[in-house]
Amino acid sequence: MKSQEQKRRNKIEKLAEALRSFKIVDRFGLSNLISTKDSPTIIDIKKCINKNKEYLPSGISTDYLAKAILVKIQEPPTGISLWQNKYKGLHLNFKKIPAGKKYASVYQDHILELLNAIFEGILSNPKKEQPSENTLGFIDIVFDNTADEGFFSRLKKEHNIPSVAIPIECKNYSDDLKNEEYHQLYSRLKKNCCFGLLICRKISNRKKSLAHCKGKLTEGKYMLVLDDEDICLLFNLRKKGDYSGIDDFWGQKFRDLIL
Amino acid sequence: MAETEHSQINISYIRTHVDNIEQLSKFAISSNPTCKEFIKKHLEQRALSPEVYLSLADGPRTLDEIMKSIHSSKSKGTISLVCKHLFEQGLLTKVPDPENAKSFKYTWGELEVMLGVSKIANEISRTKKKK
Repeated sequence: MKSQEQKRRNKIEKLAEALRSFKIVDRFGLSNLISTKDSPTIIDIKKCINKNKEYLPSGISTDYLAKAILVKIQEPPTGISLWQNKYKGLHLNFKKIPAGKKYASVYQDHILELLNAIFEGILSNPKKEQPSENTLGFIDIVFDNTADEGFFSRLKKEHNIPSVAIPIECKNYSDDLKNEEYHQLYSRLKKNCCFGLLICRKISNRKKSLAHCKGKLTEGKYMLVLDDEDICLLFNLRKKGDYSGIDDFWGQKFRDLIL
Repeated sequence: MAETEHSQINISYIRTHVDNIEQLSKFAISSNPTCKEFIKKHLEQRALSPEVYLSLADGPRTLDEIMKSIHSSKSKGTISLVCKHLFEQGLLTKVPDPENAKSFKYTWGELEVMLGVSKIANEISRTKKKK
């Protein structure tokens, strides 16, 4: 997960790229400006350039360079553009898949694709139908928790919740989940994997759903339930490159669970 | 990106030396009379080169803006070839267009400051008009 520091670095990289296109280096203190101010205005940039105007390339005015820099640093980071290109064919039309056993596999495939996109760079090595050692069944989806920043990293490092892998169960049911489904995910959680996700179509009674999850906390098993709306929200946040929004989402869900 | 004291020292060292090399190159170009002759030759080589060059006096321009500025009956393709010629000789450079991320504008290159290319272009243009 990218932090504020990563955002700052992205902007510095964009600044360097803009200056390179004019064949100049930062002799204006623009990197300091970007480091200290989250969203510098064109006036801020112009002020910086004017301090060392003699380094402007011939034929280029302060105004022109400032505009070009502002446009560049406001561009989405390269990582986001790459992500958008990679997943441009991926849509949120999974919401149209009818609920029910008949379409369970289709729903599961769509969720796998979406989670793969949402978790890119955070969780890795997604596997469908992973055999479960605890039970005879299969875990719908499993990701390795390779996060070294953000919520999934904090799970391991700060909350000391063993989460080498994240088991995920998908339920294509039209009704709210019952005890059986919560228990299924609970049974998938074991010594090294104490955090799992339950994905369903819709949660009508959020309080009841949360109560089910809270019931397993005393045994050191952490479960979060997400529905279609949550998946759409996460996908859209990732699309915009809003990493702090994604972190806030998980943070809020986790707080609701443990408090 | 400079991360450690060591890498920062290295970057400072490289930067100082690049600055020195840049200064020496500028001096060598400015003091060499054949450079001006070379520029004159290239401005005369292709018709409209001085006019295209001078059209950028007020800042970077797109090909369309250059066309409007020089009021020539020549086609866009011809003006484009003139720009390409000047660009290849190092007289013009391309910079990003802040209004359009996919586009670029032509502007004067570093030689303008060192050799006063616009003065040479003006002289050629005036001589042509007299003729």
